[in-house]
Amino acid sequence: MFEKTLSDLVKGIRSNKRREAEFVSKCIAEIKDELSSKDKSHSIKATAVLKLAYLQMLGYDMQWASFYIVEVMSSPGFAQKRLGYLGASVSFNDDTEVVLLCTNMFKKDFQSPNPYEVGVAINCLANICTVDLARDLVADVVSLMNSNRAYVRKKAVLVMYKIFLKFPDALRPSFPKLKEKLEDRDSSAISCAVNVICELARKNPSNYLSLAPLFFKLLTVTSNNWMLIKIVKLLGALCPLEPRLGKKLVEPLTNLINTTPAKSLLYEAIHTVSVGMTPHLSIVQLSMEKLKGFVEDEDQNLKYLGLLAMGNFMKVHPRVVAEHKTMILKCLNDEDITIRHRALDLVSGMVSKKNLMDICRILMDHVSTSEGSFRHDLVEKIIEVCSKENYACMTNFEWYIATLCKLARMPGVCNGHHLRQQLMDVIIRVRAVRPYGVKMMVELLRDADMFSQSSRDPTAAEVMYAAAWLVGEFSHFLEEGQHHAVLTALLSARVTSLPEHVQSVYLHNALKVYVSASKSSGGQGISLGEAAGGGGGGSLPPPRP
Amino acid sequence: MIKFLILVNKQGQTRLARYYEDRTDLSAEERTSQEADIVRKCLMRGEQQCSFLEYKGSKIVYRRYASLFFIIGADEEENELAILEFIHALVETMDRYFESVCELDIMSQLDKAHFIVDEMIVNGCILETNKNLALAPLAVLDK
Repeated sequence: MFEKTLSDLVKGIRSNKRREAEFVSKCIAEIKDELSSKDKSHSIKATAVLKLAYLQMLGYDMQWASFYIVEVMSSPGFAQKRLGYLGASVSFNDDTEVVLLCTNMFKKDFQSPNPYEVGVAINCLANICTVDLARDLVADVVSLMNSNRAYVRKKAVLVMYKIFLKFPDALRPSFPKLKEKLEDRDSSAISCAVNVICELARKNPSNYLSLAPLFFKLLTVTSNNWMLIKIVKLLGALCPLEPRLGKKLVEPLTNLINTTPAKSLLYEAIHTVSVGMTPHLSIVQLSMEKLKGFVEDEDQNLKYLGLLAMGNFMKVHPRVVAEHKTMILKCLNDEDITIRHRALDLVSGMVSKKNLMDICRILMDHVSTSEGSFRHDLVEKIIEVCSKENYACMTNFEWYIATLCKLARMPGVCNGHHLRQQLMDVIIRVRAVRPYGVKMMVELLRDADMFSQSSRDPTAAEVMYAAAWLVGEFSHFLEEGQHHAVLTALLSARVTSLPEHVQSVYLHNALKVYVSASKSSGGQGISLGEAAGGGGGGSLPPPRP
Repeated sequence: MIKFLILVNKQGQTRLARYYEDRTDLSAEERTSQEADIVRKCLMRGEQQCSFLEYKGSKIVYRRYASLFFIIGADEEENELAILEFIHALVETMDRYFESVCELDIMSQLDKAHFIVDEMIVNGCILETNKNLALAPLAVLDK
């Protein structure tokens, strides 16, 4: 019988591109035969499992074969066994029932004199570990952490984390053994132990605070960059819990930041400063200097990470970020949208009373040239910086209203709800600006372009809602002769093309304006009918004074 | 922690996939379409843009080598630059083993490719970045 190897399968699929599904089901039928055949050495079955793993990558399910995979995992030959473990690693999950059959197999393979066999078994356990496997095998894995081969110790340490995840009760009794690995004679085993403790500390930092001195020592002694990254990250997680730790770290981290050639380590150190050492200004300043270097670098990745990290500092030290204002605003022009987004995030930390209007002007320029979600975010940002902390940075409300109206007029702006909310908030709460506000609202109501935009775009109509409501509420600010024009706008037949809730506001406030008009014109009535363009109904008589 | 490592070509075909998180929620088919989706997002970005994006709550770090995208999905905590360096180490290791690796090598010797990855990542943690140490077990067993 001619059994296909993986190579044959790959070539076969490539030459049957147009009938792939048909060809593949033929292959799967062949694989089923191979798996149920008598094959003492398991080589044919092992190849069959490998082919299934390949097909699974293309989207063909292999859950049905789990029992056969376990069979291959128990092969006497290492080459076949390895393939069985591979098949399990890529296809078994928590629902796979035959996983229970594997416990004894793992126990046996863990005892193998061949360290690579042990390694393969550990790898597989890391991938398929269930609660039951964790509970049954934890003791075996713990003793593997003391194997005389560093190769085995490293892997055993890493799989402990998976065991802890599935079976948390194992953590307390096994932790002392894990801790011992921090002083293992092999530096990669130490690195793995640091890795595991780093992950554990993320969830529960206070439990690992007592290890801080040990990590401190490792920080100064090791030259392995990967380990240093994890140690620095871990110490950063512990700093918020123990302020003295932050103080002690200033010197070694400053040293690291100034001397390391590895950008990844530099980035990690700066990140740690931003989350755990912010009270120490000297190192914060140093970090910002380095971040400036990142942002000015040609490498887009560094630029992105520089801006991202600055965001962390901004929460605590907005002034320090504001020093780099020009550079950040320049990034709003970058071709890469992810970089533009990061730069925009930083804008909130930079505004002050003095520069609010200038910054908004720059943002408005960008609004007119951008599109899509970035444009939406720009408008939201303008509103955010103007209104934050109860308009703390605002010095000129008339300017703000004019800006909001300008934004409302830009076609394609979809922030209507927010604009409406802002217009109403400002004009209602700031008495002094009401006359100006009403004037601007009248202009909006009478603007034919604005009107046609609103009938097409429901969010733009929200702004008209605000205009109508405000004009009605504060109609006493309307000048002589404006009432007629306003009523015409509010009652024109075209209003029926606006959304319903906007129409009802128009009607309601038309009445208010009418009443105000009648009062102000001292008895000389305006006919509502006239105002409505003579459409339907007669004119109402003026109310008697 | 690394959540997954995938090698996908420009047409969206996956050449190697390794998941380190529980994955009962996705069927084989759903997974392949998610992989193609991720590669499409990577393709939409130009050469000059940065190698990071966000996808369904994971940080994605990718780099393109010839026709293959090497893509790693990780959680919030991972250091993006360290992952980029790791991807490079992985590519160099594969290059050494397969002698100037190409897509077809990975396809027809899928098991070897998996074994290389297994020497370098365990349980979503980076275990080994040194080419010689990672390839030593494979050399012994190939004899």
